[in-house]
Amino acid sequence: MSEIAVTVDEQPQPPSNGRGEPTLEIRNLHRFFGKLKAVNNVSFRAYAGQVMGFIGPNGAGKTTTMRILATLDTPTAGDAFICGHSVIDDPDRVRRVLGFMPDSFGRYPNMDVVEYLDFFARAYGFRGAARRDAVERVLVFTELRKLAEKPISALSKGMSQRLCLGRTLIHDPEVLVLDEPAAGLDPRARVEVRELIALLASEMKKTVLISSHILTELGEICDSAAIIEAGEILAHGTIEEIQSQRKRRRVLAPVEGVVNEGGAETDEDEPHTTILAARVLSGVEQLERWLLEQPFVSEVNMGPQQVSFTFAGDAAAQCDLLKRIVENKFELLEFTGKTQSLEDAFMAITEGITQ
Amino acid sequence: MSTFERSIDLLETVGDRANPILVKETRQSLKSRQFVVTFMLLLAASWFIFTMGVMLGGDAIEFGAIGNEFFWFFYVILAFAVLVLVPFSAYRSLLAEKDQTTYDLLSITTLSPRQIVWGKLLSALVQVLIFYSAIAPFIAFTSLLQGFDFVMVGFMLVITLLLAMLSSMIAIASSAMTKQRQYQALTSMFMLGLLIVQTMFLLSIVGSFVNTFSLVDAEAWWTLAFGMVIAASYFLLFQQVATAHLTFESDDRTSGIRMVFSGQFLLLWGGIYAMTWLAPLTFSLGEDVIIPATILSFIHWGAVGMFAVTDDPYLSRRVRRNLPDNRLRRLLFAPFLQGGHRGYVYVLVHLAILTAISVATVPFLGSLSKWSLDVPIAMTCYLVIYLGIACALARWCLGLSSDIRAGHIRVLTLILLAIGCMLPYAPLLWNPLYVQSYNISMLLNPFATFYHLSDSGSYASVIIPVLGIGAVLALAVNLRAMKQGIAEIVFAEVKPRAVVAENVPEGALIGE
Ligand SMILES: Nc1ncnc2c1ncn2[C@@H]1O[C@H](COP(=O)(O)OP(=O)(O)OP(=O)(O)O)[C@@H](O)[C@H]1O
Ligand SMILES: [Mg+2]
Repeated sequence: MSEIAVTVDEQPQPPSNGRGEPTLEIRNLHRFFGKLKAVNNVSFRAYAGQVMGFIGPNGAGKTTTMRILATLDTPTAGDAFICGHSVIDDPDRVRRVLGFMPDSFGRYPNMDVVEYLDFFARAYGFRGAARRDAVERVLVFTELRKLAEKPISALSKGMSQRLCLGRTLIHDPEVLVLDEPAAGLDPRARVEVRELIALLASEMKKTVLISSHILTELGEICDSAAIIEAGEILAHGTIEEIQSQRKRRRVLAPVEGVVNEGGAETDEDEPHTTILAARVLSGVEQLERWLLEQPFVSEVNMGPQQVSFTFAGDAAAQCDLLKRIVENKFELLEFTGKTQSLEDAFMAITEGITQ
Repeated sequence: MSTFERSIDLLETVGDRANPILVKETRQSLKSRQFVVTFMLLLAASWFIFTMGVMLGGDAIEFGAIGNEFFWFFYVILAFAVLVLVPFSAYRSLLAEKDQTTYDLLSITTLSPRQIVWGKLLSALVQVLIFYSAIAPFIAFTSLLQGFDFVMVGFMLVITLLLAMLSSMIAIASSAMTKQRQYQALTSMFMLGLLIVQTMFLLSIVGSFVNTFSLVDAEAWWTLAFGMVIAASYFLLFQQVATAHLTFESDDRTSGIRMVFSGQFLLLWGGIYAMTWLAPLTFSLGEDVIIPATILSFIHWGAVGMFAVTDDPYLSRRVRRNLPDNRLRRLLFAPFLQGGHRGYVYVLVHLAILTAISVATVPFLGSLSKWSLDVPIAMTCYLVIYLGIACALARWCLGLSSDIRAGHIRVLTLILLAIGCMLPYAPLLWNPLYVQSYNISMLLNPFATFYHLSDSGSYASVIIPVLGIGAVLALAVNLRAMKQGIAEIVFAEVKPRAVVAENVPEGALIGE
């Protein structure tokens, strides 16, 4: 994640241009449980071929939102549309074009992998050859062919998760809603699941909404994200847009058309800041004291061999600072700058509110 | 193509068209240890009876008429399997789906709730048939013995099969209704106990019916036919209930159930008239039929009404959109739609029909009958009053807080009724010797009033007008709501789709 002394100030691209109609659209969605506002005025859109991250701390309302999208629950107010079909008015049509993978597996006893897929193919109305084809297609895609005869109770977590994804794909849906698909997987299995999902979006032009709180993972796979906390969307847009946002509550008001103008919403009044770190062979304390006197420098933190600080100057000022550190004979080993990762953005934007 | 290949082909086609849940559950149960063990136990028990019977029976096997006794032993084992175990496993099966969250997966497929219910029921049927085939060889053996009555055995097996299907449907409906997860162990035990008691009860009924049943007795056939029709109506009712509980929230979950309730009511009276007309020799319309049927109908509408009038009035856009185009058809359909106000209209219409029936049956009552028109009219008034109170309470209270549920309103109404029943007896508190004869304060107690009206009825000229006024008041309190509930349907503007989608009010709350 760390790059040397480079901060690129890019103007974020509006994500929706040239993508046509949104395949997934949430409009002013509310879901209250008594007094608890689990989902409170959530709106966003996603388009074909897009992988959208749905990020939020525990209890933020991710699962609640996704269950409404999957027609397992009805909203208190607002609506959501999958390929133009309302989840309230047309649940039957929504079900035909939507694949939902819940956060739990949903295991049947006394069943093997093929029977499991075969059952869901039947449940989606596939008959005869079409059914066998659907099962075969999924077995090939998820590479579960070898395990076809294995009882599902004997599958490892990683294989179960593949099977789950396979079940979600059995009716070849346009839109996939995946609730924490990589939870509890080892790094290797996680990479595999991630590759499958990337393939679905890029090759098959599916829309994927994927929730997680493992942010590094989402950063690599998603091209856009929505950050939700305590039922409210705090930020959404492309990954770059979100990363360039500073700690502001309700940065983007969740209103119609925000996605299109999202880029314009980034602040211009505040100067850009970077987090920089200098690692030295010795003399950390002197460096710390010296840095505190320099312009643009704030929030200096001292580690065992390293000092990190926030720098509010532009690229020229940063270059100048590096020059002066060397001139002042500090035994510099490394000088690194880090652009805000999705994780930092997440930490900065959310406030740890729980309800 | 050989016959074998062709039959394989046929099997494939059948399997392909079959209900997905049936296919899945049949596959699963063949691999399930629980099912195999049950099957084995059934076989073992039958073998045990067989060997014991042969050993102890001795000569009687050859010469005595013990075929029927033998059969009874096998029958009891079979009945336990198909009337207790099969319904119980149907109950557990749907609960387990909810537990394992596989139910969520099922409900987002394109399977309809009705298909899910029928899939579970057909799976139960397959299990019943497997148990039947396990016991078949033993029954074949008993058929070789003397005293074996083929007709009777066939009759009992068929009846038992139908009863097994009815109990399974009830079990499925109960599991569809179960929401509370934490009490599942308890409700399961309760269910099992209930099924065992029910089976013992059914066995005793079947036993006594079979003992007295004679193929040439027309009345027995009529009773049987009537019983079957009633059982079928309850089968349909529970199927509707199960389906409704599995149906998506924004769908119409009420009208199916209300239609079945109307159907049951019409069936009862239609059946009575049909029998009077078709079999005038064995069945005559008299006091002994009219009075129980009328009381039953009032209980029916009292119970149905309590649920109907406390219903949530919210109608989803989906339901509105699927309304018939024609205004008249909408008017006829409106009382069947969800909502307490419409539920009250629905009950009132049927009470009016019931009153009309009561008037029509007066000539059939013997001139000595104490059952005058007063009793049905008083019953109607009481129902109108109490259901009106429940309807108004539901309307006023349900909006106050989300913690108040329809169930609370029903309990509250019943408490009011109980207080009304006890109040006239209050003097007993300070005077234990107080002897209560009927006086006008006893109006608060419907049961005492019914008794009085059918006994001497000396107060009838006061009771009926007072109750009438009460009923009119109850109607008046609910009139506006009823009008609005019906008008809402008849004049509903069904907006075209696109407009509806854009009309989602920002921050506006619907439902809840
Ligand atoms: N059926 C329900 N009844 C009452 N409250 C509920 C219900 N379902 C969810 N909630 C509450 O709504 C809030 C949001 O829950 P939700 O499961 O959507 O969070 P989440 O973002 O998926 O969290 P996690 O990361 O832990 O999965 C929580 O406070 C939760 O307790
Ligand atoms: Mg969750």
